[in-house]
Order: sequence, then C-alpha cells, then structure tokens
Amino acid sequence: MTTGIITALGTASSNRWGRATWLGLIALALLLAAPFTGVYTEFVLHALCLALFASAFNLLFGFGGLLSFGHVAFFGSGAYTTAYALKVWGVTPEVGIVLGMLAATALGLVFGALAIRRQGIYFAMITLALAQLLYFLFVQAPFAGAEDGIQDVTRGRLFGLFDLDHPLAIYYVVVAICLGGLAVVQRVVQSPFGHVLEAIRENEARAISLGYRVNSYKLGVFTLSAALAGLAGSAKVLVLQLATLADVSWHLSGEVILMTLIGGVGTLAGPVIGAFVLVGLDTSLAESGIASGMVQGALFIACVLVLRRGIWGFFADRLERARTRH
Amino acid sequence: MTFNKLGCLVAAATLSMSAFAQTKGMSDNVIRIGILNDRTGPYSTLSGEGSAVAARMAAEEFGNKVRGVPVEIVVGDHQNKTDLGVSIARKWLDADGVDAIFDVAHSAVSLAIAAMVKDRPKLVFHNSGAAALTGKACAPRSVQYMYNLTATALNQVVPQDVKNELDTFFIISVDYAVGQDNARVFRQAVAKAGGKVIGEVKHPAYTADFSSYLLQAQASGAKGVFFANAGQDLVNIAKQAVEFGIAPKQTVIAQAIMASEVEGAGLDVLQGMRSVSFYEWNINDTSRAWAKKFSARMKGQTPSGPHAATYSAVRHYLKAIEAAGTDDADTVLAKMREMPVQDAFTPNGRLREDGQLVHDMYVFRVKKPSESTGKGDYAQVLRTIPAEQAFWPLSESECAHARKP
Repeated sequence: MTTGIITALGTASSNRWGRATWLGLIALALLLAAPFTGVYTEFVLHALCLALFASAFNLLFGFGGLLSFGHVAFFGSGAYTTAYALKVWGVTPEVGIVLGMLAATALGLVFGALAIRRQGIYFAMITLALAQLLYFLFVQAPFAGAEDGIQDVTRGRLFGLFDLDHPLAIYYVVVAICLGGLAVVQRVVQSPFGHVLEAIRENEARAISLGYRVNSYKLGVFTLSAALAGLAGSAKVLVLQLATLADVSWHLSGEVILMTLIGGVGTLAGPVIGAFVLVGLDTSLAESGIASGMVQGALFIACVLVLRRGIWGFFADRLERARTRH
Repeated sequence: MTFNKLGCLVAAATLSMSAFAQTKGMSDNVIRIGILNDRTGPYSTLSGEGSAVAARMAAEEFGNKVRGVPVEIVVGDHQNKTDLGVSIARKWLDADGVDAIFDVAHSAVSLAIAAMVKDRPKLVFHNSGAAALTGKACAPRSVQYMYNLTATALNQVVPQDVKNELDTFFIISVDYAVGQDNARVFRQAVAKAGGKVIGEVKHPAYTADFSSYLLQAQASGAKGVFFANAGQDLVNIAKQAVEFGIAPKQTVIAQAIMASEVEGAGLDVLQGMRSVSFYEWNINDTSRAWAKKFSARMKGQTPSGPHAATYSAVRHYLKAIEAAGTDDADTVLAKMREMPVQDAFTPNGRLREDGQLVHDMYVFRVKKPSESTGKGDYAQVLRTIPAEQAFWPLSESECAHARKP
C-alpha cells in the first residue's frame, strides 16, 4: 500500500514529464475548453466542487491516515456561511468565500482539537458525533431556514466587477477556485510537512520518538483539510445558489468517502476522478430510469474486489510499471 | 471570405429564431414536460414513476399533441438530494428546452426551482407543501398545485367538532420548523373553532420511544391529541398511542396520513385516526374511473395525491396551451387562472394569483379493518371543506405580487 502510494506520487512529481503529467495537462485543457464544447458546464462545476471536497478529505485520510466521518460539517458550515453572507449581508462573492472558509477553519480547529485525542474508530465516531451536533444546530437555528435551507442566493459581482451570473464568468471563477484548492493539496502533500504526515500515518510511535510533535501535525492537517472543505462548500453555493440540510447531512460524509475510495485513496487525482464518476452517474442516470444508487453500489463492490486501489490507483500502477520496464 | 459568409448565416439564423420566438407560437415545436421527483428512494411509491404515468395519461387525452405540436415527457430522479434536483432542473430549463416542470415533491428543490423561474420564461407546478412557496418565496411562474401544509393544519379542527364536544386538545409536535409551523397554525384553528389547547410537548426528529410524550397527552385529559409530525415518527407514535390505550378514548388527529403509512402500520393500528387530505380517489365517478385506469397501468397501485395532482396539472397546462394557442409561459399561466379545474384530482379547483391552486379538502378518518373493501380503501370522508374556505385568504397572503390591488 505505502510503496504504491509513493510510486503513484512519484509518477507525478519526480518524473516531471511522465505520462501522468501529460494526462493531467490534457484534463486541464479539456476543463478549460469545456464551455465551448457544448458540455453542460454546471455539471462540471458541481463535480469540481465535490472533487475539491473529496481532495480535502483525502488529504486528511489518504495522506494523514485520519478517517473523519464528519467532514460534511466543514463543507456545510462553509456553504451556510457563504450563503448567509451573500444573501443577507449582501457582501461580494470573494468576501463571502473568505468568510465561509474562515468559519470552516475555526470549526476545524475546534473539532480537530477534540477529535485527535483519540485514534481509529473513536476518532471517526467523534467527528461523526460533532458533525451531527452541527446538523441539528442547522435544523433548529432560525437563520438556516430549517429544511428549506438558504435559497435563492445572489451570486453578485466578483470584486464588484465581474457579473457572476454570466455562464462563462461563473465557470472560470469556480474552476480557478477549485484548481487553486487542488494545487494547495498537492503542494502540502509534497512539502516536508506532508512527508512528516506520511511518517505519522505509517508509524506514529516512531514519529514521536524521532521528536516530531505529532499532535500539532495532526491538528494542522485537520484544520487545513477543514478549510479546503469549507472552500468547496462556499464554491458550491456560488454554483447552485443555495445551502440546504443536505450539505450538513451525514449522507454526504459517506459519499465523499465513497468518492475517495472509488477514485483511489492516497493519490492526488483519485478523489477528483471519483467525484466526477459519482456525480456523473447521478446526473446521467437521473433521466434513464436506472437507480443510480444501485450502480454506485455495484461500482464500489467492483472497486473493492478488482481495483483495490481505486480507478486512478490502478492506472497509476500500470503507468508506473510501463515506465520502469523501459 | 468564408468566415464572413458563415457569420452572415449565423446572424440571419439568430435573427429569424428570435423573430419566431416573438410571435408567441410554440417554442422549438415541441411541448416538453419534465417530471422531477424521487424515482428510486423512499418517496418513489408516493410520486416516482406513478407521476410520470399520470402525466402520460394526461398527454394521451390530447393524443400526445396540442394544436399539432407533439408533447414530450422527460423524467428525472432527484433522489431527494437538493443539489442534484437543482442541477437537473437547471439543465432542463437552460439546455434541454423543457417548458414546464411538474411534481418535484421536495420542498427545498421546489423553492430553488421557484427562484429559477423568476427570470426564466418557464413554469413549475409543485406538489410540495412548503408554505413559503405561496408565501414569502412566491414567484409569478411557480404554482403550488397539490396542497399547502399550513392550509392542512388550518382545517384539522372546525366549529362543528367543538359542538360535538371535541373541544380540548393536546399537541405533540416534532421540534423543527415544519412541526412548529403546523402546531402554530393548529392552535389558530382551534382558537377559531372555539376550542382550547391545554398542553403541548415537542419531541426531537426520529424519536423511537414516545412513551413520555404520550403519557403527558393522556394525563392532560384532552379530548383530542394532535400529532404534528410525519413519516416514521408518525408511524411510531401512532403504534405506541394504541399500546397506551390513547387511540380509542382520545381522538387522535395526524398532520398527514399517507396510504403507504396505513399499509405499513396496518388498519388495526391506525383505525379511527383523523386527518385532512387534499385528494381522495373515490370521491366521485370521474375520480374513481381515473383511479381504475391508473391502477391498471401501475400494477394495481391506487393513485396517491402527487399522482393525481400531476395528472391534473399536466392536463390543465395542456388545455391552457390549446386554448391560448401558444406555449408562452405567462400567456399559458394567465389562461390557467381563467379556467376552472374540474377533473379526477378535484371537482372544484381554481388557480389563485399567489400561485396556490385552491380546491376542496377532506376531513377523513382511517377506516376499521372491517369497513375496508381492500387495498387502497382506507379513508372515510367525514366532511368536505369547500375550496374557498380551505386555504388562507388571499388578503392575508405574504406573497408580495399577489397582494397588489
């Protein structure tokens, strides 16, 4: 598992112009050209927001080894804060996003400080419990609008200049936000901080004995992951113009885990691919009469049985093998 | 040179298209109807494919063509996920040329679509109960077709009940917005009827053990107990009310009882429970005939409220297009307001300025097992509330555009 992850990373980092990099560049080109190809762009944006959310989760789980089952709390608090700020205070979108991220970061710091005191299943349960507390807070709190949520949020003008109701403006702004978030994840993973995280994941006792302040690292990555999840939630509000209880419900926490596992845990591209696959299934099967939940379930079973390291993990392995053979 | 020619062609095409649109004829030569609901989740029996079948039945009455323009029906599964529902609806309206969306049956998705049609010349017909749809969040092209939660609560108690000595009430409500709204409106209904609420207790959503709440209701000695909750909570509390011996002695009134809940819990458990409904499939010959046709196409399933409401809304929409000779949203909607609704869903419906379809409602009680003739025969109608009394008066509406003189 470990060597696999390192090789998967290796294809992207050490060998600068490896096939993975080329694939990444092609994906980027497709993404930037999408509005001109007749693709329905809002689907791409929705998937991108969830891709960023899944990447934030993967930073904590795949690289930090901490399975949070309540990550939706940060996505949701980002979404609600941005929606409220845009709709009620009438702030500009960039301020709304910063506020959303700040709320998620603050919450991440508090939840993280509590949760990292325990490990494994207890850690997961504490994060789930805290997220459920937040869920019921949003059910009750008058500002959150209960089951109706915060609706009809105005996108406004970015920096007071660009009208985000224009399809191209919103597209490139959200693409930029999400790619920025993904770049942060990549930078963190490849930094010394990221390497220490991997060391802690693999052998915490040894990392302590080497003199690392393990809890500070854990809290750091937890907060960072929460901030990025909040950014994803805020971006989603710009796209869909609403924040509802679905954004803080535990179902989404489960879905984000599924995205990460199907795409490939502990790889950079995995969560992004997983998000596009799952959102794509939901959207494309919606009009077909086939239950998308069944297909997703079957896909998950297939991944567990055949593609143990997820879709991208599998291809990254192949690419790596092809490279070393030459 | 070639580029110039191409440019001219494109410009000419765009011009001719906009000219065509301005004649208020039929847009893109097809009337495209979207049925958006939960097709695979917990509400798929209540709406789901049944609503699509109901819409097709309505279109077939017109021979699938209105004024020579074909009617096309597309379906979408929102899986009760708000974001997914919103994405599908927006894609339908912006990219797929859907003219009107029906059913929805999910309050948050409904509110989002109501916001969308503010600046899009499209229509939406909700079977969702959120009061805001025809209140604060009302939009000119958005219609609340099936019911309104507060209107339901408003009709739970009438002066006749108080005369019949059903005059004191205890409320058990679920502790979030919908439950609290219903409890509040129920209090108003009781006050208006001349009765008295002598106690209220709130319970959290998804409660398994209702004993302490039920014992309080029992000890209060109230003649009626109102359950302002829904779904699994309602089934659980109803079962436990029987176990505590509340049900036969005190009259139990539920915010809403769906056929699926009766089938899930059984007539022996829910018998005698009272509620208000917006649709009864055996209210008259028209409704019975349609229900029979529907059952034949749905493997014996009795039509639910959303099924009949979808049928009625699609039928009324197509009739209005036929009468107006255009599918222009505002013209069609104006025509729909002019024409009364009289069909299998309701014998007496009228579309109001605030987007509310006002129609008769029914106070019913769940039949005893011995009274029921079989599947689908669960409700005995005690009283019909005429359309004009059943809903909030327009003069008290929170809807901004409807209040204007």
